[in-house]
Amino acid sequence: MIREGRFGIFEGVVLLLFVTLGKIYLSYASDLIKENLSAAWLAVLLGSLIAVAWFLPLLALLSRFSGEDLIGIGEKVLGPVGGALLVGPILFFVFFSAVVVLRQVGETVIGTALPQTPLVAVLILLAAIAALTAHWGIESTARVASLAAPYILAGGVFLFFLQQPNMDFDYLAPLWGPGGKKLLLNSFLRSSLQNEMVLLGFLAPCLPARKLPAVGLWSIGLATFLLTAAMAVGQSIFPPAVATEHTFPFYEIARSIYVGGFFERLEMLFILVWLGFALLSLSVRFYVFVVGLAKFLKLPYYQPLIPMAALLLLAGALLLPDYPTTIYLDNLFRGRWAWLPAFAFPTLLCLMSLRQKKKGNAKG
Amino acid sequence: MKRYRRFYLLLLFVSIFSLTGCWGSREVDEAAYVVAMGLDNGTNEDLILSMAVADVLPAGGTTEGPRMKIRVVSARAPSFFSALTWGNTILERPPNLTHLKLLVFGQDLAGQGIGRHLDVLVRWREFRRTVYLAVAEGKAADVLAALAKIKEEDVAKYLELMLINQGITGVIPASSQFLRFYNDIRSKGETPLAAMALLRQERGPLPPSPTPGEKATAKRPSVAGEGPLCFAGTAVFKEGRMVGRLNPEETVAASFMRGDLQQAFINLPFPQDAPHEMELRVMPAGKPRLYVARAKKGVCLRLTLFLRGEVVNIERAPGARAPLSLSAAEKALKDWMERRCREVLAKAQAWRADFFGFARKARWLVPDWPAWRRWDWEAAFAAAPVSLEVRARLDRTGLTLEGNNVREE
Repeated sequence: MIREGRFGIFEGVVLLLFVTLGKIYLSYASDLIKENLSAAWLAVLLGSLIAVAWFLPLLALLSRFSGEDLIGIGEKVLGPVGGALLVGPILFFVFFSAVVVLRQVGETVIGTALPQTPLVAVLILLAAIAALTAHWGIESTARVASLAAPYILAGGVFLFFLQQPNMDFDYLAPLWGPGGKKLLLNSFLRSSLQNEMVLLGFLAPCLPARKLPAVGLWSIGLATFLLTAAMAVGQSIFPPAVATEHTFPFYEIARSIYVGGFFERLEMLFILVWLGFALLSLSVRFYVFVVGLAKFLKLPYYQPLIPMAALLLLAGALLLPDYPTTIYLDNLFRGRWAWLPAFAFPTLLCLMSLRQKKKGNAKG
Repeated sequence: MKRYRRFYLLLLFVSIFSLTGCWGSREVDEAAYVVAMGLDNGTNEDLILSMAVADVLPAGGTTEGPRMKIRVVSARAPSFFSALTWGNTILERPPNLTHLKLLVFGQDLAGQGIGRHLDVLVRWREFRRTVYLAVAEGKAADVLAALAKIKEEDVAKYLELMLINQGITGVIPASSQFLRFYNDIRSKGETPLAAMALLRQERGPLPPSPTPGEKATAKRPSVAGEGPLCFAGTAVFKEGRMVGRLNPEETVAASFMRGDLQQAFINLPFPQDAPHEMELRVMPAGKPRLYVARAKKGVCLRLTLFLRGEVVNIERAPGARAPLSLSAAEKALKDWMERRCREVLAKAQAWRADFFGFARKARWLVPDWPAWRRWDWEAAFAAAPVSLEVRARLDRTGLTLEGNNVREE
């Protein structure tokens, strides 16, 4: 029997929030701006609102099968094979996202702080950290995240405030960016920005069953606000033509801080904040994948899988040929099509459970 | 725990090899810190790169004299990094750009276009967007050579203070850092500005007094004394090329219009007694308000300036009869400012160079980017009627009260 630990609403919200916000510090902003120009912040807002609508069936499903995760629900609704066919791709997506995040974090560490360090050394270290946190369990990660949350969030917000002298909200015009129709289509696809909310489906057994909707709605609400605000602030500093050039957009923002001629070179603070987000984001994804795999394989423990899974994660990250390809794949799958595994598949599962009138054991 | 003891000991042993050692160390005094860099065009499209390198002497010890010495190194090469490499052949330490404060373009290069040299500056991680930009009146290499004559102990601090201070007094654009320059150069309708760097003779008397006509158009201030460099005036760029120049007085007006200026001292004729003059300290009372509206033909523009001022000097005999009328002084200030702003506006429209930020407001008038791309903003700006309003309030008279003159005769 896999023992996953238990934690409360705050820890749950923080965990989901950090995993979702981790992308701010990677290169997702450049591509969003390239696609939506001055209306990128609007695409984030509309996309997130669409994601909220997508998220409701998942919440309904988790409430219906109280105490179960997506793997268990899939099995109950569709049987072992059908469940694996529907939930398996979601789990594979979680693994793929961990691979892409690992490679992006590694490249960003090298690009911003340690240019002389070999990529493989950074990736091994990061994969080892992910493996170690998975070994300790999600409860430890959640409690550490909740302890660090105020400082990490305050650090991020502080950095944005320091940019106030450079902000010009006229860069957010023309309001509709590439045009109303294109913006709406892009926003629909960009509901993928909230794809990390599907992790709630795997973490559900760790949370108080009756509080799951609260955790989900708080997480997605806060993530919507913070992702939109971060994008709007970033866009008010660099016009679209400049913002799309950046390999590490928010690193450039931190490097441009210059208050009163003496308050500058604060990117080291940024790197600490960013590493906190990135490591939490990576660890949670890796944990969910390993535990999910153990459950699929009906193993009583997930820990023996950790070394092999970590090696697989590392191999995946090293298989990506270069950073531009990583960004391309990340933008394609995590940025535009992640709504399929994150929202459409759980919605399908919810509809099937309703059709079959199946319901889980009501556990409090 | 006991089970893992051997594993932890092994981990501890392996981790020893990851500790840093002396072989990979980079000491602070083992880099050639470039505090200013100059770019000139050479023959055959070559680039001449000049670097003012600060030799930082080790802290402590008994060495007397300045802690920082400046060496100027120049190299000619087809492009930036090859010039940097050639320059390094006469430097015993590798050049490091992380402490760069000023980037100077030679006037010839600025006139031909600096666009092709900007990519390296945004791509190379040692370069920061907080660097100040200037255009040399002549060669950038000469401006850098002048830095070696600076008597300030810390030349990096000298440059930073110089450019911040001149920005505050308004004789150079306050926002001449690379961040805004590059944002403007990459945005449709925006016009980037840089400071003008002028070489000057340190010895010799004050230059001859200019005529009133010359005074208004003078490109350099009338000063004498130590200091090989002077930062005054503005270089105006369009599409990566320097297309014009504003003198220091015009720069003050332009800075007010851009909302960059913190204060300026202005002298005006005393309203009730024309031959005498008064001096005012003028500050912005708020950000300038820009308004753009579509008209039947093109656009119409409106700019409102909000100023507040303080009387700091009135050239008249103590206890002279007529006290200053603040409303008359306000009107004089408004008239002066409007005249100056009109001159700058006329130049800007002639160059089709909108450096006031009207284009940013115009973006809100179109629904989307396809419409913005179609709009010939430059032509619209050049032909637009500009309504200018200066709202000035003189509410302080320094440490002397006006109108309280008690006379004994």
